[in-house]
Amino acid sequence: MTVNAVTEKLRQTARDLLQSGQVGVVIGFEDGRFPGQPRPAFIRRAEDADRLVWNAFCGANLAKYVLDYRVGDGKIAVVAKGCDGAALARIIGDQQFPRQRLVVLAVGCPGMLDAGRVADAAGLPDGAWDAALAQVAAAAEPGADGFELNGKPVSRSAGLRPQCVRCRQPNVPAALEPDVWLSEPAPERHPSPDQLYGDVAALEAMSVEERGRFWEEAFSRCLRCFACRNVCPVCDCRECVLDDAQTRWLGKAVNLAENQFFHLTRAMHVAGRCVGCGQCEEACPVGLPLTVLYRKLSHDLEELFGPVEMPAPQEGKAAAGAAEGAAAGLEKAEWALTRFRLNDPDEFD
Amino acid sequence: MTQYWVIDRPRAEAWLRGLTQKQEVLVPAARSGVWAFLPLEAGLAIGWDGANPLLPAKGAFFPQTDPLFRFRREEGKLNIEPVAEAVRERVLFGIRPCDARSLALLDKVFGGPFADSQYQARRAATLLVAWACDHPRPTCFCQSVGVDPTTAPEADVMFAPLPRESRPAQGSEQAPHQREPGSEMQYLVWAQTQRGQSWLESGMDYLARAQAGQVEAWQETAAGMANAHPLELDMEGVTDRLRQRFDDSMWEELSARCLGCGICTFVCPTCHCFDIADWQRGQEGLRFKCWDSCSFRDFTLMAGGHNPRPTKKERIRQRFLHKLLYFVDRYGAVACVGCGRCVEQCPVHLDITEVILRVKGGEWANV
Repeated sequence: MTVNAVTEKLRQTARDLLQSGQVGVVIGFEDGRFPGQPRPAFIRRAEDADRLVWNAFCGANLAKYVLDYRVGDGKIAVVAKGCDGAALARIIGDQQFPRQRLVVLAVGCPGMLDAGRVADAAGLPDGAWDAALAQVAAAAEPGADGFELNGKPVSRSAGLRPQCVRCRQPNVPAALEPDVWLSEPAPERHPSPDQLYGDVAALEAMSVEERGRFWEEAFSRCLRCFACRNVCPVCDCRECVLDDAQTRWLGKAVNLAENQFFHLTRAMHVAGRCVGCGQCEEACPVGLPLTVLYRKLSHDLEELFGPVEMPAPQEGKAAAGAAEGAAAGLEKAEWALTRFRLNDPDEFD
Repeated sequence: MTQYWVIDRPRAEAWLRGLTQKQEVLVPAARSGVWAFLPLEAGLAIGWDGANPLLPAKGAFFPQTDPLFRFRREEGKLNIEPVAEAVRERVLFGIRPCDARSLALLDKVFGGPFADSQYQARRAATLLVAWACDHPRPTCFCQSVGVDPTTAPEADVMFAPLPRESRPAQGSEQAPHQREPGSEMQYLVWAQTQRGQSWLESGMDYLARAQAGQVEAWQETAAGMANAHPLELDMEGVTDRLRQRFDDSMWEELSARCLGCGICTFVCPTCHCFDIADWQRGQEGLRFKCWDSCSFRDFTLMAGGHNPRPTKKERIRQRFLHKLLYFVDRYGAVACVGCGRCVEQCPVHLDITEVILRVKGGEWANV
């Protein structure tokens, strides 16, 4: 089976990094049990580098995993699409992982496909597992407009994950100063206001009572499996307030009151920090529309404080090493709701 | 000798809806897109053609949050008031053989010398009507763990979908396009217990005697479904091999990917670990039993701060050894019924089938 160019470069880069001992682990993707469902892979030996793959289904955000390596001093390499890169920038900005310990392998991302949507668009029977998807997984070069599956033309946009339709950051932020580009940077993306906030606007248009019912109905479905929090790359606290067994701020009973407390607390914690990777919604087994809540907050922040911007790369620092320059910029960045000032207004009356 | 009956979908639906006048009837159904076993009520569509519900049948006996008692301190005295819900006769309709087996496994845990009275009461009050499963998902592997998808020995009554050609043409007053989709579906019905027999006798208005050839037609279908499941695992020797692999590097490798969320444990029909916790406000509160998950960090966190399972490695190992080794040693069966829910739901595609394959020496890639 032919290997696409990005995969080839990824494997070669990983092999070199591991062989030379520059990194202890390369975090990327490998094929999983079902086609169209690659899984996160942790490659520690150069001879395993050929397990790595890159294809149009590599949607999971890998940035979360760097938090597992906080203790230690070795370097790790991470394959980073735009949203992985944005999340890494947040994690560095939150001083939860030093940029110097990261080797960022950047990939321009044209948007990732969802196996289920692709299967539906191609009229494949039940679920996403049809072997035909294997062809797409292997052959769909990043950037391809579409492909043929099950004898039908499938456009890329029909199979795109919803968070990718809204994407404004197909490439890692410049401030991250990636170490290696595995592909060309992807062209800029400019989703329409309706694509970005159409569902948020629909909720805003509801009466308070209607909106209350909408969220009560949603939160009452929550199983409290914590997948949304655990998959979230910007949920980077060493110890989560929701896990505090001593205080039990969040009680263990699963009911509307506790569930609401959980979700609203988390929403405020990720407000202005959410990178829009959509992993929370994708992981949720009961389909909670969590990104609508987070995007509502992002939208408000954008209206009140202007667009969320990554700090610019630190000019002149490149000579001292890209990583140091990037670290300096990101660690000094001030993002809304991530810094507290004593003179912040608190007029809540 | 087993007596076989036949019922079509509209009659079965009428029967079940009629029963709701006097008792609770739980059916597979979707609410807000989430499939579960829900109390049948007006406006709720029975999921005749749906996949196995996301939330397994265990919740009907072992609810996620189960109140035990209220407590209140008054004038130096502690008053305790039981709040266990009254358990009434009910029907659990439409569980598949995998979930039926899971109840047999949970019976071992919540029965025995330290029986859980609420679980036992709910089990005793519930008539189980199982469906022969003709909708395996690509993630299903029940046959590999010894479950026959065509029959559920634990059920009081079985419903099995009849193949189309074995349904005698019936004079219908309605033109085909006026009928509900699926209304032509017919089910072969038989009782497996005395209780099931009595239940069928109470439904004779809806049941017709099976006609010549219909039982054979079903048996032929059932035989064709043997080994029909796409996911096949060789379980031979897995338990014994795991005995030697407590310190295996496999756990560390697998745990690197695990997010430590509780999806797999909550959608698992056999996961049964629970916590007992209090909700307390001032001088009063409620004590309840609730699902817990060995994936969670605080599952084994001790009061003094020590955690015997400090990292994902120990937690993930516990989950799989519990299912494939400890449960076998204690109760004589693996605590997995092959329903495939964890395979389908894990956000990072880590599941029990991968562990089994690795223990069997399967290749890393393409497992």
